[in-house]
Amino acid sequence: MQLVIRDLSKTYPNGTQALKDVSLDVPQGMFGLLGRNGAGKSTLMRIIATLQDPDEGSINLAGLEGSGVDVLRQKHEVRKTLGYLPQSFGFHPKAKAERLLEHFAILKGIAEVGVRRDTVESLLRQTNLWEVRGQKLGTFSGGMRQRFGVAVALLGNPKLIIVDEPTAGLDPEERVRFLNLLSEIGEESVVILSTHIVADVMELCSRMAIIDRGEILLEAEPLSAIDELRGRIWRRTVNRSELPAIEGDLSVISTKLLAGRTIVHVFAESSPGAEFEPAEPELEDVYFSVMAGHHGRRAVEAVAEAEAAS
Amino acid sequence: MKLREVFRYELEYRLRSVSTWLYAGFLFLIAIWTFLATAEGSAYANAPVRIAGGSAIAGVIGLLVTAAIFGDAAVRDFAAEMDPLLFTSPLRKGDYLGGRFLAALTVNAVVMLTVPVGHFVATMIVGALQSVTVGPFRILAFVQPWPLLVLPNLILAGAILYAIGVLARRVVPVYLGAIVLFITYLVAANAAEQITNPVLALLSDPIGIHTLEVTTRYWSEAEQNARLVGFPAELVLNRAVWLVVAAAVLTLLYRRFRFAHAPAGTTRRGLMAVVGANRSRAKRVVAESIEPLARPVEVPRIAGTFDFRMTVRQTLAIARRSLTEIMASRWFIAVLLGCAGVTLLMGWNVGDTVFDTSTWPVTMLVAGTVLARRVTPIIYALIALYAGELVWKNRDANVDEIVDAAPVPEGVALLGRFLSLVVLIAALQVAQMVGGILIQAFHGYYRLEVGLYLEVLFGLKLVDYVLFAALAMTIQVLVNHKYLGHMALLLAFVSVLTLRMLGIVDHHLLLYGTDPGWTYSEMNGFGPFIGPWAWFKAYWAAWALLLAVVAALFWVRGREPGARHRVALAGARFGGSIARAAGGAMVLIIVLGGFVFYNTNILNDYRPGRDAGLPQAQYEQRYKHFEDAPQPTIVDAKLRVDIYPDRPAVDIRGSYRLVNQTGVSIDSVHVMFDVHRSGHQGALDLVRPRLEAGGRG
Repeated sequence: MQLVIRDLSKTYPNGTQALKDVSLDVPQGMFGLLGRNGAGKSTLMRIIATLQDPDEGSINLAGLEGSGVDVLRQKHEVRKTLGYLPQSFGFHPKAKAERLLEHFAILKGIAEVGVRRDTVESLLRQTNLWEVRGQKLGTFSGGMRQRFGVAVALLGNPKLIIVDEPTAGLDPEERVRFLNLLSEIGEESVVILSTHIVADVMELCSRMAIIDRGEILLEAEPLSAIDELRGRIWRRTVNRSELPAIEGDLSVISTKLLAGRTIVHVFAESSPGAEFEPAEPELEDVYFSVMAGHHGRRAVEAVAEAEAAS
Repeated sequence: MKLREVFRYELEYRLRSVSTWLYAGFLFLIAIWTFLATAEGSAYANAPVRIAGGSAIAGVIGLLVTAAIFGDAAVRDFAAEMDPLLFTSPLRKGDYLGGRFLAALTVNAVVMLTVPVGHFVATMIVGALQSVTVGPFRILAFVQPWPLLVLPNLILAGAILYAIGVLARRVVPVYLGAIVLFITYLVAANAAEQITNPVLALLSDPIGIHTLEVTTRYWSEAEQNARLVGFPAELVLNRAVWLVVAAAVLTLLYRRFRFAHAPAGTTRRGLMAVVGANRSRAKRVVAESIEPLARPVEVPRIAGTFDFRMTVRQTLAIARRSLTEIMASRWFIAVLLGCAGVTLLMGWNVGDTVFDTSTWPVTMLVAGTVLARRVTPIIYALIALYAGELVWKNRDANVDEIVDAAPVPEGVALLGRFLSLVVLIAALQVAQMVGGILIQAFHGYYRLEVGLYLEVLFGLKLVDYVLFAALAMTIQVLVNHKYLGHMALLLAFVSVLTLRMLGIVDHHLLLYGTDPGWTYSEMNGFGPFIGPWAWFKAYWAAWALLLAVVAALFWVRGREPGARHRVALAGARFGGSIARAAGGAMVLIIVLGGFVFYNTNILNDYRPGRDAGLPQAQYEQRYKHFEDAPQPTIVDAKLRVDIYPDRPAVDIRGSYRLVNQTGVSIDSVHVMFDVHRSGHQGALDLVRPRLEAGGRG
């Protein structure tokens, strides 16, 4: 079971290039797609979820039915085994949770009444919504609605699950609950989770990709990506007024506030100065150094450009 | 100052959006169509009276545009959830409400300028077609109705709809309000004739069309052609009264409106406040239990099965779901009650004038006149409305991405919705039947022919409505914009009427959903009409199937906009069962259409409506010189008439006694047969004339 994405490009009619030659290999398990808002995550997710079409490229869901399924052409085949949780969605406010889930179960092809009831019940229990199954969806809180969306996405034993920014807008408790749920289901399917929250990926995903302006900048395992940065991230606590000078001299990848003081993270092959102390890299450092072009595709391209110029 | 800024912002926003100009185009076409459809009779096509009447009618149809423009102006902030930002700024509510209203009014008034322009173009069309005489062009005839009829009606409707929108904070009540206004106009026009009290007549005529009619009723043809309507006192008074009403509505709005947050789900309060029934019903948000996540539950890993039975089941599930959603709305019961109520109102006087005699409201009158004719515009409007809601329901609830990614074929999504629409229509039919029975009961007439009701409502009219529903859904899918879809549908509907009225196209094989008509008689029921009717309907049902194919091909799924993409997608979807359905529909169209054509044009002599007078003209030309020829007078007739309604045939035997009362001798007697009646067999024996005592010839 593997999702193979090759050379995907998409330009919107208004000229925005949402995806540029995106190629990814997504194996079974949780895959994190990390990028800031507007990076092209949702476009990519919708294309995989059969709701948009790219201008160029191919997507193949291998390991399903012999030679695999062409996601862009055999949409109906994909949908039979797809679970999709969009970035923003709603439900008919007057529908009751259990009834609506049963409706979706029919739409997802679960024919037999008994099986359908069992599936609906266990999904509602798993998402902790069993107690409120008779309530109208209009009365649900954001987290409950999100979990109901997961229940819908999990119907019909999906082999491909796409979850677009599921934790945005959840309170910390709901977020934990939600991530637990995702990790439980992520074992037997291809699960793609898009997010702009680095911690989500760190906690859940065995593989990840960083996307920005429609380009994949890095495709790696989070832990090995962190290992690669070990010894190249330096930290220093400074006053706000010192910041411009440091930014001018060094490769600052992130600045953070802590109790009114600024903590600067700098990318450097060797110690940039005595004031700096080595920092234990985190996934966030990976993300920021990739975005800043010190690591990953942008760094490689910069080197190549420099070589070409010399 | 702030008023000006609110006004300017709204004006710019509206003028920059494409829909405004599409509305203008829509009204332009509507003005042309309605003008053409009513251009008959002896007065000039561009007689000032006629242009004035046409302006008022275009204004009524313009309610749809008014609802869109004012509804948008009223609701946009709430829909975009921008209201907290606005309402916490130092903006006074008078500036806010006033600026918005005036801007919407200005835009709508500008859009309404297309009505006189459309009338002018229509005049030129009529002139070119030479179907009706066109008088000299007078610019005042086009200009005057605008301030007299169009603008005041616009202010009234705009004030009411804007108030509804602002207080309800949702757009659906605005459209329902527009429908209620529309019905009110119809009922008022229907009832105004009976009102003799001048004050009441004034009050019962919100759009001034009846007052206009009364003012100009006794104008001679020459006056109609030459006289401008001007600003007659009655009409000006009527307008003034209704402008005061509009001002009162706006004042009420100003006093009721608050810059306040309305919790979701209680938006009804604003509206209820107006009705004076403010019962707060706070939304209950379920408090979440803060327990740890329930122990992992084993979810049965059941993959879907997809066979034909599943397809049927999915279709029914979607139909059921759609139906529940619509019926769960509080408006649905109001629609049903309204439907029964309107039937009662519009049919109340049905027994009053049948050949100038008043009769009981027998079932045939109620079913055949009220339910099959008078109420139909409202049913069509409701079908159009619900078709739009059904096509858009998932996108409106923002659940479309989830549903679109589910393994449901496009045809199933469409068919399920269509089925629910059919059930809705059936519910409307029941409501009308209740209204009809109430008419009879209130008149003390209790011979209810339920069978006849069912035949008319669930046999004849249901078929009409279902065919229309197919067209409505297809147009909604194709246009892919709910309100423009409604307008496109209305345009299509009016086009069919106009083409028919003008006699340009009137073969029922060419006008979607039409049929040769039917009449019911107490003697032989629907007699010979059902057969031909059914053939035509079967033919149009085949077209409806083809429409369904088109709708399935263009069914919007996913978030990929753009016409080019949709066409490409439709091409990719064509195949399998969709291709088979298309092929089947084509074959049916050709076979059924061929059979009908064989009957109408080959077995029988088909004559287009515009040539209807031709035989009469030929007759007059050929026999004109006999006009004053002396002829005997029939002084006695003995006829034995046998009628065989089931064949249908009539056998008449008898004798006439002719007497020459002219005083001159007659060399020939002229006898007229209707040679166009099929199956006519006639024999005529002339008895030798004899001279009678006292006779002069």
